[in-house]
Amino acid sequence: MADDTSSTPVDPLELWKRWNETTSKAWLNAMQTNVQATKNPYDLYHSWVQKAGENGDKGQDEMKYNPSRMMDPTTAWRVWFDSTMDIWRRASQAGGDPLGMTSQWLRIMEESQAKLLAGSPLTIDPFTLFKEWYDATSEQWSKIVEEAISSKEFLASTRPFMESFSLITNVFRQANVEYFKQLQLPTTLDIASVAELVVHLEEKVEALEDVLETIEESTTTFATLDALADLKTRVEQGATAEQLASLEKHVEHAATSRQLTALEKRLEQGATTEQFISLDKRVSQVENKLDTVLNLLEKLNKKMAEPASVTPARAVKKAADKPEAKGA
Amino acid sequence: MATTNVVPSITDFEDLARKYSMGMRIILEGAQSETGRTPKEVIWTKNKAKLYHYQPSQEKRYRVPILLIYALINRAYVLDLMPGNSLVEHLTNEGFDVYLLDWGTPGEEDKHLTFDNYVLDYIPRAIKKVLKRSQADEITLLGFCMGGTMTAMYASLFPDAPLKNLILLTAPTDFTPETLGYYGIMTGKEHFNPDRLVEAFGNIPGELVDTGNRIVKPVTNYVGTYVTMWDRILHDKPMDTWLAMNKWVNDGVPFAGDTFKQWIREFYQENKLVKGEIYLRGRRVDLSNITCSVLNIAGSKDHICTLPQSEATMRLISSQDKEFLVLDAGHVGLLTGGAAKKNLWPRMQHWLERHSQ
Repeated sequence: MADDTSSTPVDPLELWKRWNETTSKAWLNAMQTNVQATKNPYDLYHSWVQKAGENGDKGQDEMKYNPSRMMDPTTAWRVWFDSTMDIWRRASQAGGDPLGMTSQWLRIMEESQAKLLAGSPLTIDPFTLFKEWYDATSEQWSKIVEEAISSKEFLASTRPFMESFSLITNVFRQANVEYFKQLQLPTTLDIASVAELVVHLEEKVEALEDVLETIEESTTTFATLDALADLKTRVEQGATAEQLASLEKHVEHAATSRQLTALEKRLEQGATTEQFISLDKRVSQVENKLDTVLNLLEKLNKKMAEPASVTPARAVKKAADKPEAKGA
Repeated sequence: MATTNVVPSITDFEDLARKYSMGMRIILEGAQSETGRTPKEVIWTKNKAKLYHYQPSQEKRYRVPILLIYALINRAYVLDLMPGNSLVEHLTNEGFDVYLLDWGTPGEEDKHLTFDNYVLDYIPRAIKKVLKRSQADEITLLGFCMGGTMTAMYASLFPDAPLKNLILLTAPTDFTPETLGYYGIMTGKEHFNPDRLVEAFGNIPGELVDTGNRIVKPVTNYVGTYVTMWDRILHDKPMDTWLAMNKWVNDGVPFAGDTFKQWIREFYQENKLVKGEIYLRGRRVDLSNITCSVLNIAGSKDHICTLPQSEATMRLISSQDKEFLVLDAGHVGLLTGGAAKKNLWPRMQHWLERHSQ
């Protein structure tokens, strides 16, 4: 082919002829030299190959003597249907089709053949032909497949499959964990446990924020002059809002993604389990500190919710008595 | 593509090769599409979750803000797919103040999260933040799919919440096996044990959840989708929407292990929600506590949340102002695409206009 076509454009018809000739003959030779061995269970396959070969020859003859007819899509489809449906018919008759898929397919083919050949002139574009075939048959196919996967046989097989799949996955997971432990390297579980601590920290910060918001709301909505004066003193004695905001910022900074990435990098660089435990401890310590702050704030919040009983004069006096408390 | 008997030229072959390469790249690498492009601002975060405020600079014509809650197995962009094909963009362009709670991607450390956390911790906090930001007294909650089930649970647990409206978009509440289609068979107690999967994986991988969803309609999802793809590529049809939707259905997020167990056991296998037997941190979820205005929307071709699954809500809630809207669409087509623009969006918008003053 290369000799003839080196200076001319590739003729796809010629290419197809060559391909069909080569492949179908090769298959035929292979099968015919070993007929005994292919009796069963490959009988169907053998007959398909033989038919494909015969069909290929027929197609080549058609192309040789009447190429324009062969390229007529309706004829092409008819030839294809005639050859392939015969194969499916044989397969259906041969048995070994417990789900009835082959006979269903044959039925679909027959319906599709009638549908396609009764319609308007077909196009030569193979994809469009395939799409027409898909559109004509997909609904029936869907029904068959959905019936098949809903069948008792199929469903009975899913549970053992899922169980063994889960078991194997679990075994691999455990093995990996043990291997990493031996290498003194943190595993996903170790990282997850630190991440869990960070999440808990965030929750505490959020709880702090909640309390502060409640204080903010209650002071703006209900606070009397008495209560405000008293609150001023109490806040000055304890932590100011500014300090709390700064604390919140610190904690938030502790859990920024940048730092987490840095942590991850350090772990990749070879953090040992001991280092990891130390980190874990440090996060726990911060968490404890936050717990203390949270408790204090909750107490403060509760006290604020109680009816105000101090007079402005008393409150101002209280504030004046303890100037050293500022900035505590 | 050639449609006559003319022998194709070299240019035709080159064109075919280019298209073939494009299609194969999509099959091998997955659909690439830039999704979730409506301008937004993050106004609050909690663990992996983020609360978005969309187009904050846009003029708001309605005083009641809308908070969107989607399913835990999806990505946030399903409600903001792409410009011109986004529910979020449509609502903000119409003058609504729109917020969305992005669940993020759960990590190994989140495998113990349950609906108790999502419904009792995340949603109430997000609502508080939305109200503060919008300076409104009331809110509209819009829940999609499992997100709808979660918002319904929230509404029933917080009857005194400042909840003006509840929109449920293909939100299942009834899990009677006969209403579930293939999901009912697949998740049946005798065939499916969620504990085994959670033991093995911790969080259920997104791919596994996607496969579970696709197998319900295997021919359509494994063959039909790609027939459409090749049809669009070979016939030079626009690919943007197909790519975005394909990205959606193949881009599942891990499902937090304990939530997955809860979802399969208590909802699918035991159908506890309609029986009033779901308890979140000891608090009983009773859907009859819902009294706010409700718009319940379902798709007649939806096989993920079937029609009877969402229709049941109408008889379970106590709202006087309630409407059940059935649209001729499937689970994805209901929310996005040409049909959604013609049906869902304008109808939802009109309902919201009447209920957001």
